[in-house]
Amino acid sequence: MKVQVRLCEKMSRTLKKTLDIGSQSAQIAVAAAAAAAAFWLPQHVPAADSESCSRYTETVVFDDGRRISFDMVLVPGGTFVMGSAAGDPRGRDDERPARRVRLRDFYLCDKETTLELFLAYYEQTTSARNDKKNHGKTSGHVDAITGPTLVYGDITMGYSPRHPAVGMTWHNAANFCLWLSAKTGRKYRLPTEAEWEYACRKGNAGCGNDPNRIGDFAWYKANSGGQTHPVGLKKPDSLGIHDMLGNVLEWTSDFYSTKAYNTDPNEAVLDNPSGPAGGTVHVARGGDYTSGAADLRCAARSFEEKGWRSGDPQIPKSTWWLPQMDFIGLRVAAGTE
Amino acid sequence: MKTQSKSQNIATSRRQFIKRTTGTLAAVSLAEAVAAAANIGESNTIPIALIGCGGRGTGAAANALSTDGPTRLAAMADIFDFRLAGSFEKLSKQFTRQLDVPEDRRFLGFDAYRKAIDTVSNGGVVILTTPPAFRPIHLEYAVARNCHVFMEKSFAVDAPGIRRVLNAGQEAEKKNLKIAGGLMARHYEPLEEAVRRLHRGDIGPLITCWAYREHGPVGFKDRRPGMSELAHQIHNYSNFTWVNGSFILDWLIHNIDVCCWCKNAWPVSAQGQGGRQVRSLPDQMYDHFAVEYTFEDGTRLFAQGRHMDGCWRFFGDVIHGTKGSAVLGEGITKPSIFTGHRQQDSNLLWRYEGPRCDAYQREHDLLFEAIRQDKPYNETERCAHAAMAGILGRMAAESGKAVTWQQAMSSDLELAPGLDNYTMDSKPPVEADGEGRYPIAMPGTAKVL
Repeated sequence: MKVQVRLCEKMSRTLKKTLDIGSQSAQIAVAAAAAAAAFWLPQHVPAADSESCSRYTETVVFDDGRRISFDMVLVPGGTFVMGSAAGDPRGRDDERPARRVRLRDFYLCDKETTLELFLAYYEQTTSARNDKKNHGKTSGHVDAITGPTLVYGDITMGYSPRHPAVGMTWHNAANFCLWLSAKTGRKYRLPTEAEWEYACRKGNAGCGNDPNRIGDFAWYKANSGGQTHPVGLKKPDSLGIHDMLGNVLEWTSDFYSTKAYNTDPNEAVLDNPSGPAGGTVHVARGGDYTSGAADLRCAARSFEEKGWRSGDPQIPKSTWWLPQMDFIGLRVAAGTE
Repeated sequence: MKTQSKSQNIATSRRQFIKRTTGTLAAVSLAEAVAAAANIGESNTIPIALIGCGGRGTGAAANALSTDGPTRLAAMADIFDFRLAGSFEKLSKQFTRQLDVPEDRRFLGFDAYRKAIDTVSNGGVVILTTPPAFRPIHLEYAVARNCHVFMEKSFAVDAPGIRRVLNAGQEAEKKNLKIAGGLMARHYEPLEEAVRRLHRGDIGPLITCWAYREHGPVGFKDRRPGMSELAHQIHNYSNFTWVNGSFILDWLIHNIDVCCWCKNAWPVSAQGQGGRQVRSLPDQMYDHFAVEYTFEDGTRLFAQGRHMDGCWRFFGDVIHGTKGSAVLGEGITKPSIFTGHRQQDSNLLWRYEGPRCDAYQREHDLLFEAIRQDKPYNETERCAHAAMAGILGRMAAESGKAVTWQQAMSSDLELAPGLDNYTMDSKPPVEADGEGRYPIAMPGTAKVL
């Protein structure tokens, strides 16, 4: 454990020396969030080296001294078959054809992003805007990250700070990652769809995908009581990650396409795919508290449906919020660079 | 969600429409009934006029154009050209074939509503989605011109306005016009089911209701270059009392209304408090309210609203009966009912777990279905009473005095005297002092009745 801590600290120092996240983020307009997401995708880097720690704790420190921490787990890279095999009766058309994918190492948060942290992001960025209107002043470098518009109603939807953050659009989730990066000095982003599925498969082999044991690992229709639950209450998978399946759907960085897996058949292995170049909606993974056991599959793909905006009575619909949609959240990822 | 009403293919001919209308309402003259059906025509296409082209108005127009049966948007009105243009552009993309609003039916100014309503008079539908101060004026005119109406909340900002709305509702009843009000929580099926369970006694007789709207601050738009003071205040309609009636009315109305729905009564009196402690933007808003309402049977409804960051957040209602409690209302997607007074899972009696419901669409589906099938549909009275409950709360909090429903309802105090005759050059009823500060109601001295 000591070794891990030491290595993590070394990595952290290196990051601080080489990155100037504050100035980078200032250049990234929110309007270009999709492009920004692509920017944050891991570039070609050597596979995991000995300096990657298996787990580290990130702490976000606020001006008032408040600290919010979360843990990031190393997902060692490798090659896997993404999607559902032709003969798999549970697989759907958009999960085919299955393809071989090779991924570099990456980190994934061991829990879904909490309301506590998402509220802090919301309040800090919206307060910064109000400060400007009140006094013409700003309150720190994070103002470079544009915050969401004011939510109609209550961002918590009645859930506690330990519950997963819910009801944000993909744009808002991606923007949260920009804010978190600026705040911590480390690049955080949404996982790619491939990363998400890979981590799910790697962590759930032999446990979470067993319908008889799914209740030990996931909040879903049979045990959720019709609501989300605080993150991390269920058993972790073998990677140490909680709630990969069930509780809330998790945004990924990829655009959704039914034909996303129809890649060049001559390409034997796809390296670090990041999804279609364009699209209208994004992929969310993992099922949620309303899902049946059969839908809690590592290969199952969800995406933003039209009804997700129905809680917003305005036109144009909010770029930031999906009012009443308490089944969609996020989990942050990071590269090892 | 696709509601049952939407799945029905309704095609009422003009002849059937007139037959039903005249057959069901003896008090209505044949001439009036014919007038109410005239604008629908043989095609059954219902023309719609949109009065108030902001985000909610555009959304409401989209809901109306998404109902079963042929509809067309025939006229639009606003006081802001940029609002109208933006709305037209958005709707054009989504409803290309249903948009029938040439330039000469896009009206601007304080009298634009008259021109737009005239376009669909005698049987068309008018969507009233301006800030609430204008609702009574617009509703009166729509009814006078024999139009069916969807009116967004809130429905007035003062007692004279409420009385005008009530009178217009009665007039609509006589004319067999259908009036829907935008308290969509009343048409949210999960909540309807929860209230059914409360009314059948699942938690016993109700003893206390709590209505909450606790969240962050309300936004504020900077003054646009060249924008007059009047236009600036209307542009920021949530922030000036004469335009929206304060946030205990315009923002808490749903959850106050839901409590009264559960209780099946309107309050008879109120006392409360409120103020402006954290907010420093140049507007009139209180940033917190706490009002205690009393029902005829002596039980209470407590309504709280706070718009501050860094504080406890909750948006919903908590209802206590003699045997149990419930968490429901706007902001609560899945209403829950519990045994006892601790709202915890171990006490859960029932929680809605059905499909999602789009109440914003459903309220339009129901209105248009009522029009096409000529079913009774007039939500004016309960909408006006819900707004009156909010106004009563504002009066109590701003004055610091106990106010009865009767006193409040009898008040002749208008927040914007002469609003019917406003033009773009009019002065607003409140103005900032030399330091840019607007008048704030001071408990103890504020005149509210």
